[in-house]
Amino acid sequence: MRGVLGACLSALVGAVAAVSWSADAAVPGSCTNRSNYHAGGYTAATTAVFGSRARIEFNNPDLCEADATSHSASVVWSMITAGSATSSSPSADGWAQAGYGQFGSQSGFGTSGFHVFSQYTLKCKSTLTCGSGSSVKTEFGGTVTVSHFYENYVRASDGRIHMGVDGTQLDVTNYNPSGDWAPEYEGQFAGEVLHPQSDIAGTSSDVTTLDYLQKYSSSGSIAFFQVVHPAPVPYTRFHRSVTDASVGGQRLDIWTSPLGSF
Amino acid sequence: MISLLPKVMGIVGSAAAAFVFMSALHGSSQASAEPGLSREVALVVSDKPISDDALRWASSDGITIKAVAERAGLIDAKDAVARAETDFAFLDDGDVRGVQLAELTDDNYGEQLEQDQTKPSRIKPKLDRALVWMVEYSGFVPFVSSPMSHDGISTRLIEPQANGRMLVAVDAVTGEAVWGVQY
Repeated sequence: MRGVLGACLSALVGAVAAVSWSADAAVPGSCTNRSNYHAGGYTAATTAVFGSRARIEFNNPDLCEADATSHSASVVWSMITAGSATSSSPSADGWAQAGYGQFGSQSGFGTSGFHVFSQYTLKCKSTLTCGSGSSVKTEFGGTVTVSHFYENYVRASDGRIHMGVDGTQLDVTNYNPSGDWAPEYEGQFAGEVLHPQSDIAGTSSDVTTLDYLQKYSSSGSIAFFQVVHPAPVPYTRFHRSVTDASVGGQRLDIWTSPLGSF
Repeated sequence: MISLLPKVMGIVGSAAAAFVFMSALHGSSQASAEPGLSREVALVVSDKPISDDALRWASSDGITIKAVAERAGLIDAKDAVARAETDFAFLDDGDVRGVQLAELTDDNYGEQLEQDQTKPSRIKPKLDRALVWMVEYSGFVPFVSSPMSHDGISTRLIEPQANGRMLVAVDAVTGEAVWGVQY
């Protein structure tokens, strides 16, 4: 996406957040308003869903500030999520996900700073008892340059959620979520950034495609989600589109417009 | 270089063993809680292995970290820290607490040998006694993802806190950041 010229121009404008750019890629500015910003889709929550997976295309997003020094991250993932079995607070939601992301790196087209990753909520989160400690565990694996299948599923043999990429396990929850999570699991697929000035992977001319949007049954069999709902986006420069996929089920395309448009 | 790194090897077999092992190496200064080092200090004060707390946590999560002595032909600790920070630049608000040459095995990360989900999941570790520089961080805002709510607003309502703890493994031969865990 952004090359050396873009990096130089970005440095010149310094801390100016809103930068216009004639090319299709965004030119991120400073990192402000840290939170979670998505472009993606979700499925109905049912007791028949025990996992999700997707084939996710690799793309190189730009991060706010400069990739080499950014405090931000841009990730794309497949997830299963559920509310708490004992609390109605959204803060008690549980999730397990796998995907890839850029976590600050050298600018340009290199792949350092890209890692496959998994994250799951700890048991204490479902009861809001984590206190000042962490409520999630995140594992970062090797780098990524091409499309992969990212999966998260409850394994029948141990009742734990296994997260992985192309059958290589990244991590496994250290508890069985049954009884802590509500039994209705929902599949989600999305790009996500920690700052609105960072790009979700993909541009209008080179979208990031997620297909094979699939679910796991209790026995581990895999089937397509027939309906994936596009979620509203927090800023108009973030985009998502759900259409029928040639491989079956539906596909999700995500991308970002230049920063000046948000 | 970390010229003062302990030249002693030890297998961290359990949380208790890890605590005893590291405390014995570094005396009371390691047994008590210490504030994190600044990056600059960490790169100069090199006799600072990863903490007992990190070793205890790792051991409880199927991660084995075995301290090893320095040897010729490896990248140095300063380069390892630089690479860790390049790959995880969102850690910039945190502290480097320790840097240590080690062999790393993660029993949760690897090839699944049983595709039949009714059978126990056996894993062939991807990192099996990998020779790495372990870099430990603390005091940063961790990466916490979030599901989407159906109205497009993040459901993670808890404000991020600067309580992140992380271990990063940098391949001691190639200099590639091959692994990391936030906990």
